[in-house]
Amino acid sequence: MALLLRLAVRNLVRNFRRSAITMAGIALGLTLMAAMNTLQNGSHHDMLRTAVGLLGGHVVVQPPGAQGDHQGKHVLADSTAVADQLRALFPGAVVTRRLLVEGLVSSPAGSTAASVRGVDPTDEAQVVDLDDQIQTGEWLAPDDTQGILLGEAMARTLNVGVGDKVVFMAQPEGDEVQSRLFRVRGTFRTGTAELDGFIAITTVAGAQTLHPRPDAATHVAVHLADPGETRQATKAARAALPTLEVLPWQEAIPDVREFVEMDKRYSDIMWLVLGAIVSMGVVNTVLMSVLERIREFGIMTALGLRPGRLAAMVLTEGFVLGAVAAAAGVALGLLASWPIVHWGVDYSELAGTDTMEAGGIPVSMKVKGVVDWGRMAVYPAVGIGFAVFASLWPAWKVATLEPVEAIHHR
Amino acid sequence: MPDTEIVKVRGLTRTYHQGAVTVNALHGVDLDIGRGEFTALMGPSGSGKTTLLNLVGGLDRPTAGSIELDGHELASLSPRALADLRLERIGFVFQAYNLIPVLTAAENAEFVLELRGVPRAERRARVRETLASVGLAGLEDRRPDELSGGQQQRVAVARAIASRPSLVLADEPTANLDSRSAHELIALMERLNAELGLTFVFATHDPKVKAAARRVVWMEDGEIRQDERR
Repeated sequence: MALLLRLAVRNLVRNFRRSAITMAGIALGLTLMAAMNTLQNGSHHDMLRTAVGLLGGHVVVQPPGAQGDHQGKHVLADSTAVADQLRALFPGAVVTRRLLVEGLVSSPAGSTAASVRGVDPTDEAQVVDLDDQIQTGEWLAPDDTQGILLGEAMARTLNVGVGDKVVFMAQPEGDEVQSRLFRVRGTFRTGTAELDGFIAITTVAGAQTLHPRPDAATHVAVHLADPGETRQATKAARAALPTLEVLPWQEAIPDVREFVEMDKRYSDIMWLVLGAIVSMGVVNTVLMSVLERIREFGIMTALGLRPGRLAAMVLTEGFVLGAVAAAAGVALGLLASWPIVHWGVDYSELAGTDTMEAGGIPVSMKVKGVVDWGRMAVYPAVGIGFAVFASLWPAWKVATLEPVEAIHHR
Repeated sequence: MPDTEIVKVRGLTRTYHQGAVTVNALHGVDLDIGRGEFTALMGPSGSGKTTLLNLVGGLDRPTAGSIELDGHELASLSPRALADLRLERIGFVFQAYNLIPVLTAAENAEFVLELRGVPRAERRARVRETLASVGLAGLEDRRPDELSGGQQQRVAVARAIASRPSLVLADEPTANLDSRSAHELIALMERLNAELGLTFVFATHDPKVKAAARRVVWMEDGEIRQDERR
């Protein structure tokens, strides 16, 4: 093996310029992969953070059967007690209660379907950016049971502004239609058509006035300081609240997780195509190098080097080529990732908006990168794998050479 | 009683097809080579010398006939087994030196020993001794492109003999050398034959090799025409 490695390294050095150009190609591909992954991972992190904050929490506690119930028929009857229990269990976390009621909101100018989200304003402001997205008026006060915040598009549809009245009608449980008046405290803009046109926010107490159960909540969510503790926290919450459904965010909001996974797979396919193109370059280099040395291979065979070891020598060249390029590529990729992590990338001017919608979630156009160390650890293997794969055909050619023809090759 | 013949060739035929043309490089050759012989295969270009050498060395496969090397019938061996046989029993010296350009003189000379798995210290000592015996002491660390033609051919000889093979096959070893270097190389191989009992078979046009050989096999048109022992 030492002999094969020595020969492989020296043969690569022998044609230094050609080897360097090929290695630069692989390294550049990996640098791009690493930097783009940091950016994409940052975008996913931002999206998941927003989705977790907006749609649930790291751990979501709800009544059994609530998952998939878009009518809001399943509610926690004693949400205050559940929230207090979770606050005691997770002292460093933010615990939010939410009551979601779907219905019709009307003004003198018109009406539209809406989902009213009853929230604890102080807790909610800690986990979502909605309080920063107020366009007119202000965020709700904790004891405000009369006030309501409307998405900007909804306010436009209803032709209402701060101080105006709207009526919300719903049928949260049973057959009885509930109806009550709210006063508009402000409008918000998330940048997502669905949220801005469909969501209205009031306090939990305000939403509970629409509900026959006085302490109702659709779910109580735990927002952990360290999302990495989600699994343990879920386990602890399940033990503390055995009669309720306790889900980690991955199960509570599966659509978003699946969207992120799908986005990653699309990227992987794109990188696979790029890798295949780079591999063509490696095949060319290794094949050229092999064809130039047919006579040498013939001599080595004549001296007793087995065909398999001859192929192993060519594969070793591919391995060394890939290993050096992968090390350089990942190092450069981390270097290129640093400004993306530190300063981020601002697409807002290019896109003409501060946020865009992805999987129904508002995603900021100012993305701060997050290094995915797991992927960074895999990239060297990817670089080496492609280089060795690209060497397979040249290696097979060498292994099947006829010694006598190879020796007399001109 | 040990077999005194290292090579037994019977009815050896080799036919090449080049497009529509069929070339009978060898037909029906019978030849025995005894241990310790110093034999020159001679004849005009195209007479079949190199073809015979390649077949005996297991580098090519016969169209018909048999070749027995040190008791092994070559036709029945796989490419891998043939490679192992060459590694263990044959040393090659080629016309155009054919050293591995990325290895130094010492590394070239120890190539076969390294493939055989001889421990590093032992092979270094043996190569140093072998290179000294071919007059290359002090040039161990030079790459082939830093050596003259004669020196390169000496390295090739050192590579062929360092592993003490049963048989050394040399194809036109003096063809690219000046007269003085050729004389020195022939003298060196004679000495190795005499001192170590190595069996040498040359394919050559060179009268100097013919003069040194103790057996001259004359070939023409793929057949042995004369077998002269001295």
